[in-house]
Amino acid sequence: MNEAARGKQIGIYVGKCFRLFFHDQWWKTLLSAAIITLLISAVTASDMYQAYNSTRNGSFALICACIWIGIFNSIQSVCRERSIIKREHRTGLHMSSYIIAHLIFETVLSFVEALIVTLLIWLTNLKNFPSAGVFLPALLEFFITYFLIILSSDALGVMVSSLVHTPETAMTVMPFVLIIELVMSGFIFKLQGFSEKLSYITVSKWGLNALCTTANVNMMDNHIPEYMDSYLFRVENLLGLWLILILFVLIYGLIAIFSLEFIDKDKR
Amino acid sequence: MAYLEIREGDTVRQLKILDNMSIGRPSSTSSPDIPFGEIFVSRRHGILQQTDRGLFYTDMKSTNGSWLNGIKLPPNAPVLLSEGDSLMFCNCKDSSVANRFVTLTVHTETRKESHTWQDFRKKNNALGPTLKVQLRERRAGRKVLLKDVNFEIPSGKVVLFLGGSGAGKTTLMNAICGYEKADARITFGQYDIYEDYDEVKHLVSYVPQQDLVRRKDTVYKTLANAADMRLANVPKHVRAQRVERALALLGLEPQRDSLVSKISGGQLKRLSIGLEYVADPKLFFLDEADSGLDYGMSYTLFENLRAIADEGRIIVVITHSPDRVRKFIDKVVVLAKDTRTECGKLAFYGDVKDALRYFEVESVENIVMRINRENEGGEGKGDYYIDRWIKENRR
Repeated sequence: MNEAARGKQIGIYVGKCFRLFFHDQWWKTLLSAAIITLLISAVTASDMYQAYNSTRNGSFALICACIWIGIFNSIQSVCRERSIIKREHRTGLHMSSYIIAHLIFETVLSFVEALIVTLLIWLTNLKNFPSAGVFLPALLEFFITYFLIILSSDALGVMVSSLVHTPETAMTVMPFVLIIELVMSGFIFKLQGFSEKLSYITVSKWGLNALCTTANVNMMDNHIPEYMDSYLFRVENLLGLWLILILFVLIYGLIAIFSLEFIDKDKR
Repeated sequence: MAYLEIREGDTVRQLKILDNMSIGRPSSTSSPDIPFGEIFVSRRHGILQQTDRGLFYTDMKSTNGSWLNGIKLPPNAPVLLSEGDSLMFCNCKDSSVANRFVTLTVHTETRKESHTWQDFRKKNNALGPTLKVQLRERRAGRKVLLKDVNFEIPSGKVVLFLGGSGAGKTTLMNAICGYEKADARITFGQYDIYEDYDEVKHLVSYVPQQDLVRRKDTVYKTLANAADMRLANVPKHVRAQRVERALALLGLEPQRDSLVSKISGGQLKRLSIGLEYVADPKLFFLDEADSGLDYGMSYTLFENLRAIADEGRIIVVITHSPDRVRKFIDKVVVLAKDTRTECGKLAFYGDVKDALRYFEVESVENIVMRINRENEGGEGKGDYYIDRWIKENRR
């Protein structure tokens, strides 16, 4: 066999992902992350990180922004080059290498975007920003949560992009994915029965819980309107929430690989 | 400086290429220029000849044979060697299962104008593997798309697939490549393309009608990555040389650092071909290679294809403007749609000149006019030529 081994293929495609990103007006992606964050910061209440409702509302808006940023990073990344991948698959490309390379690139991109989001939120909320998190400085915990939300949304985008065949279909599917993420988060509506179960597969639900845990919303206001077990200010709670977000990345990645294994069956 | 890199077990040595070099196992009566001690190397195994047309290797009817890039060479037939080519002598019938072997990797300087090789190759019968197509049927569900298509293509030929719309040209190409399998036996040298697909797939290249390249990557990196992906076992410097050779052969050197999105349609098509060329395939299939290209671009493209074929490869092309590049084409496969069964069948296979005579036309494009249906602007003689071909080949 003459084709490159899986590890080498990952290296080749990681390099390719970065080159394509830098040759394709990379600054627009980062600028849009900054603009979205600033827009949300402009409308969040002045008592964000002080009052229970303001903190939850603001955090939910930021979750929406992070999911938007993450999905937009990758929603067209696979489907727009589907014919190219099909050709490369026939000549020895392993789909696992291809998706892992994409996820490595998306991890770096999500890291930078999370850095932008965290710093802008910190700068626009300097007065009220909590100093201590559950077990790390709050700034670091928020950063990790934003990073994992963006990354898992990004992986969701990769999965959708692998399942559909064209960028047009991807852009048609995306609003539905966003609606599910937002409506099924459990923040806007009280969910029961099937819809509550559906909320377990949303990034937004677990992301919001993690942000509210670090912000320690249960301890906000003299009169606590609603005590939430999901926001328990405990290490195991926060680590568990992060773990769920990491699991999403792995599951979405595996589904993407599995779906692309059948790419040779695409009709010409 | 042209040299050979010789690997024998863990030993690697380099040897300057001289005009005539014999390869073999030394004995008390003979001392070859390149000696190997292994028992599977014959006393007079082969010879290397450096000519002004390039470096040639001839297997001297050795007992265990010689393998060029994994393909067994016919005895007594000089084969032109390219940069990075690997000659192998082994204790086996199949180079991929050898457990003891010696290899010679060729490192040559750039050769002279490739067009001058063709006559030399013909004169010297420098043959590589032949492509044999014996297609009984290709179905899509209940519908028969192709039936009874049989022909053989020797190495070094540029072959045109000709036929009206829906005659099955692309279907035939996909069937031969193994992408869409048919009820057929397709062999390339010793390999059955369907049964030995994993071993043979790196020898077969398909350049589709669409240019399937990433627009935001550079020309050089696109080619380099293709070489890295498909020639993993080849040393890095040889891969780099192959990329440089593709850039030079296809006239893409000035665009090497350009983004793919910034190059012209003709250059993009040549890049698509280069993507396959770097992998050193022996069989090239190009579906509508020159669609959307003007006369100049198309001419240059076919000039490049001719040069690639002259390296001992087989080029199969579909083009809708064959007359403008006729001088580069050796043979033509004419497919016509049988109006009685609505499936594609062979109406002719042979040299271009013979095809013109057979169809009594002046130009290749007029062959299509002859066989196309009347409602497609043709003369509707497809069935006649199908029957005639079957009849004449039955005899």
